[in-house]
This record gives sequence, C-alpha cells and structure tokens, in this order.
Amino acid sequence: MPGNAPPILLVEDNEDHAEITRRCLGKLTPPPALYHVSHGEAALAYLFRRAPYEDPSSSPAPVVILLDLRLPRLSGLEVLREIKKDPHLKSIPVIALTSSDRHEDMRLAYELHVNAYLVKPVDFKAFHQLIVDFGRFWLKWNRNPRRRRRDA
Amino acid sequence: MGGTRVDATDGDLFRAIFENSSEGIAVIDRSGRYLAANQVYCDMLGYPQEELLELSVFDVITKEDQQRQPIRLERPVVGQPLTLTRVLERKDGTTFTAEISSFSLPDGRLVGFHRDITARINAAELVRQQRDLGLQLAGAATLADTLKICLQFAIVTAGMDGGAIFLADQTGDFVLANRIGIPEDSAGMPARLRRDTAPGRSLADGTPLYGNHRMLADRRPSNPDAPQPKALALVPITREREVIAVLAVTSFRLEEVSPTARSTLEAVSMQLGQAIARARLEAELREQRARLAHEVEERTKALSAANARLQEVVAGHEQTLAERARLIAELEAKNSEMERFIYTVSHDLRTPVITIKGFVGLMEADLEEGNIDSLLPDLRRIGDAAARMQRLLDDLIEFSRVGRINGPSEKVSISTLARDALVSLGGQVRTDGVRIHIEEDMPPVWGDRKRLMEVMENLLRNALMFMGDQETPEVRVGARSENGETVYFVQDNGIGIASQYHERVFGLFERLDSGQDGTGVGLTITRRVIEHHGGRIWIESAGDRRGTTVCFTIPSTQ
Repeated sequence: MPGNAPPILLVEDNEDHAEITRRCLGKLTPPPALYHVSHGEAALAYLFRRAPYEDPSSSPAPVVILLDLRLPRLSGLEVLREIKKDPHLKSIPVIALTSSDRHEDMRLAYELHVNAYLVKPVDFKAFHQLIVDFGRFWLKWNRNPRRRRRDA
Repeated sequence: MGGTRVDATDGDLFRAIFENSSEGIAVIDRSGRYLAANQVYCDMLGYPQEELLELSVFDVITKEDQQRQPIRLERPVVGQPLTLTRVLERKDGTTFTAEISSFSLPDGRLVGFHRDITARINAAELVRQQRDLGLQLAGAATLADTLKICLQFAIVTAGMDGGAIFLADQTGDFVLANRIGIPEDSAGMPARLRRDTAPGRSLADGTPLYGNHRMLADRRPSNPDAPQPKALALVPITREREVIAVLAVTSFRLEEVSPTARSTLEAVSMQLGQAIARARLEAELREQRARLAHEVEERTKALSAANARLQEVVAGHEQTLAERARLIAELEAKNSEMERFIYTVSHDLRTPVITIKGFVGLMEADLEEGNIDSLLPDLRRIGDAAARMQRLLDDLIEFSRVGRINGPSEKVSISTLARDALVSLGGQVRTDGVRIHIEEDMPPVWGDRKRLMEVMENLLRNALMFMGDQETPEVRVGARSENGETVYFVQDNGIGIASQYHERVFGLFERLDSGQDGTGVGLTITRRVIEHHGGRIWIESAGDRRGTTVCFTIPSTQ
C-alpha cells in the first residue's frame, strides 16, 4: 500500500455524487485512496472491521472520513455518534459533506463532535475548489497521528 | 242646705222657678203617674198639660228603652239625685233622648229634671258614626269603594232612603259616579248635572239645595207604580274652596228634608270631601304607579331583549374569535408544513442539479485535456439525472393535486382494483415467478377510483420491488375485520422494513434504498390519498427479510 496515498472513507448514498467526488479527489497530488460505501450500516461495518470488510489491506483504516448526513436508513448523525463513541475510532476526523445547509443539522453534528461541516455547492467549479481546499487543508496541512510521514 | 235670704215658704218664687226653668220638670208618684209637670216638659213631650197628667212615665218612655232599662221607681236615697238617660216618645210619635236628673222626696214622690240631649246624642252618635266612617274609609281600596261608603253613610245618618254622588269632571259638570237605593225604573238620577244650568249652577257656587225631586226637572218614571223619590237634598262637597262633588240624598217617604238631616249632611260633607279627594288622589297615584310599573316592565323587557341580543352577538363573536384562533392555528400548522415541504423539495431537487452540473464540469475539464473516455457515460448520467428531476417534479405535482382536486366518489371493489393495478404494472415490474393472490369479494369502498388505483399500483409495485433474494416470492391482497372496521392489506414476503422506519417510509422523499428507482414520493402520496378518504395507513413488518404488510382502512360512509 503506497504510504503516500492516504485512505479516505467516503460515505455517500448518491452514486453520481460519489463519482464526482472521486474524480475531483483524483486530481489531487498525491491523490488519496478513496474507499466508498453507500449507506450507514456499511460504513460502520467497514470501520469496525466487520464482514465484508475484515481484511485491512483491502479495507484500510481511513485517515479522514467524509460523511454525507442524508443516508437512506441509518442516518449520518447516527453513524457519527457511533464513531465518536468508540475509543478507537473517535480520533479519526469526521468531516460532514452534505447538501443540507440547515442550521439545526449543523448544530446537531457539532454536538456529536463532528470535526468539520462542508456543504456541497451546486456549482461544479465551487465543488471542485472545495475538494481542492479540502485536500490542501486536511491532507497536506493538517497533522494526523495516523499518517506516516516520509520526513520524521 | 245653708241659709238663704229667701223665704222657704215663698210659693210664688218657687212656682216661678218651676215654671220658668229651662229644663223640663216633672213630678211623679211611686207608680209613675204624673203629678205635676212644667210647661217646658209638656212642650218637650208635645202634650197639653191636662192630657199629660193623665199619663204615667210608662206611657212616655219608649218600649225599647224600657226593655233596655226597666223603669225602677224604688225609693232612692233621699237627697241624692240620680242621673239617667231615657228615650221619650212625644204625642206625635217622634222620640227624643232626655237626660234626667231625678231625686226622691221624703214622701215618696219623685222629681225629675229633663234635658233634651237628642242633639247631643245625635252629635255624639254622629261623631261615633264619623269615626266609624273614618275606619271604613281607611279600608277602602278604590275610589268606587270610597264613594259607596260615603254615600251609604250620608243616607243612613240623614235618615233617608237612597242617594247618589256626582263627581266634578274637567268641564265643571258633575257626572254621576255612584247610586244607591234608587231603582232604575223610578224617576232616578240624571247622568250629569251641568254647571251652566240649574241646579248645577247653584251647586257649583257651593250652595246646598233642599227640596224635592222636581229640582232635577221633570223626569218621567218608566214605571209609575214604582216608589217615587220625594224629598231631595243636593249638597256640594268642597275641598279647598273647590266643589269636587255633589251629594244627592233622597227619601221615598218624606216630602221634605228635615233640619236635622240638613245639618247632618252638611256636617258630613267635609269629611266626605276629604275622603273623596284623597280617594281620587290615591286612584290617580295607583294609576300612575301602574303606568310606571308597566313602563318599567316594558323597559326591562326591552333591555332584556337587547341584552339577550347582545349576549348572542358576544357569543357569536366569541365563536368567531375561537373559530379564528382555530383557523390561525390551522394556518400556522399548514405554514410550517409548507416550509418543511419547500425545504425538502428544494433540497431534493438540488441533488440531481449537483449531478448535472458536476458532470458538465468534469466533461469540460476532460475535453480540455482531450480525454474522451468518460464522455459517453457522463452524458448518460446527466440524462438520467435530468429524467429523475422530471419524475420528481411530476410526482410533486401529483402530490399537490391529491386533496385539492377531487374526483367523483363511486363504489369501488378492492378486488377488481387490485387486478386492474397488476395489469397496468405489468410493464414496469417483474411479476413472473411471483405468486400473486387477490382475495375475492372484499367489501367495497366509496372513493375516487383513479386515486385509489394509484394507491393500489404503488403498494403492489413496492411489494414486488422489495422482494430481495426471496426464492418463493409471494404477494397477497386481502381484507380482515378488526374492531368493527375493515382493514385491507398488501402483503409480501420480501426484505421487510425495520420498525424504526415504519413511519419514516411515509415521509416526503424518504427512501430506504437509494438504488431503487422510486422518487420517495409514492408512499407519501398514498398516505395522503388514504387520509383524504378518511382512512388510516400503516406498516406491519418484523423487518430483516420477514416480509412487509401495508394495511389501510377506508371508512364505508363517505
């Protein structure tokens, strides 16, 4: 596994939006390794290494989680709660990436200790910029104990 | 007793005293026979002296008086005079009351000093009668009563037989108000005494008239054999110098009104005046009071009516206010529902827009680099997103129509409806391999057939779509009876719905599986239709691949 390709877990139920995100992330240098699940139960299964995600080489622990709050069954907030409850998982930054700009949703997310709250812009140029800035901040500038850096 | 300067044997003196005494003096023996009487006494009794000396007191004292008080002629204590009252009868038959002071001589003869106290008695009697009258009048409730009492009193005290009272009216004439003791068919009393002709003129001046019936001008009796009135007294009754009434008193026996009667009538007229004036005043007062009471009652009634109307208005007002409050609450509820709706809709419409714009952008970037590998799939994604948007918009329009535009209500057989829905779904979903069972003869419902068809299509579509990997898929449409109502159901043995999502599935744009084609409006519309028909819809499912039963009711009366 290339040490330079940080694994990111994308929890997004909309297939098209996941594809857009993937393609934009793919333009970053270095491009992160994107792992995508489309609902909350799958996200928790992945993080807790439950079937079918037991193999860490095919399902590596992410350095950052991009979480859409609007999921079909188990809600994004529930997933967030579970992650932040768990002693092993709670230190992974969870960034909400959602179409909802409702204040209440944001407030609840922060109450559950979300690390950042991003609202998907409709305009593609803005979306692209968001992904670029995300990459720059969270993958370049932000220090993360789970990242193995080339320089000591 | 004592010494006198007069010679006790001076017979002339004592005879002169005897003869000229103002009192009647009589001497009787022990058996009551008259021995001597002075002229005054004889005049009192109307007998010539010789005739009187033939009589005894038993002839002179009236029988009634003797019965009342038998004559006792025993020897009283000598020297001590005895005073008593006796009623004596004159020669002409008339009677009078005498106060007698008598004493006894030693030889047994009795001497009596007589004074005619008839007037005094009459006066005393009159006073008593007047006091009685006063008491009677006090009890009189109306003017008519008062007049009756007054008239009766006047007739009786004057010793007459009948009479009438005339009351002065505004014109000054005297109008007949009351009549006693005068039969209709005798000459009677006129209805009115005019003040400008006799006898009214004199009476209006306050002059009493005493005479007979001819004073009232010739009045022919209707029955000549009936007793005719003779003596007549017309006495004006004044009050504060004004003649307020005329008292007419008449006798069938006497030809003239005696002096006693006259003085009696004049004496009582003042009292009568007071009584009549007061009675009139009281009558007026009572009338005023009655008018006032009536007016008060009318006013009170009007006020009550106005009050009642006011209460109605207030109640109506309160009702309006309550209604308004209810409407405002309803409006507010609808408003927030609308806000939620708009939020949900705008949010869910944004999603395909993001997709379209996203892939357009990616395509532009790729074209700049000359990368055409993803062009076609990207275009397809754009097309699909646009199509989804269209479906979303169509569903939204349908959703808003439900409840606004109502189709005609008709009798619908659920069995037939389910069969027809399956046929129309045939092109959209896989039905091969699925065992579909529709109960026959389910109780029909009343409703909008078109909308209920959509419901059935939606429920059947869901049942068929969410089979998962069920190897023997089965769908059942039926009805059961529960708590007195019919519950229809569409049951499948597919993937089921976890209980925490049993309500959520009805929410707008809620989908439990993003992979499916639905827009998330189907069940929302379905619930709306059912609720619009007055029914309820709910999920029964244990989840976890144990199948789902969607139940709904539609009340049979609509």
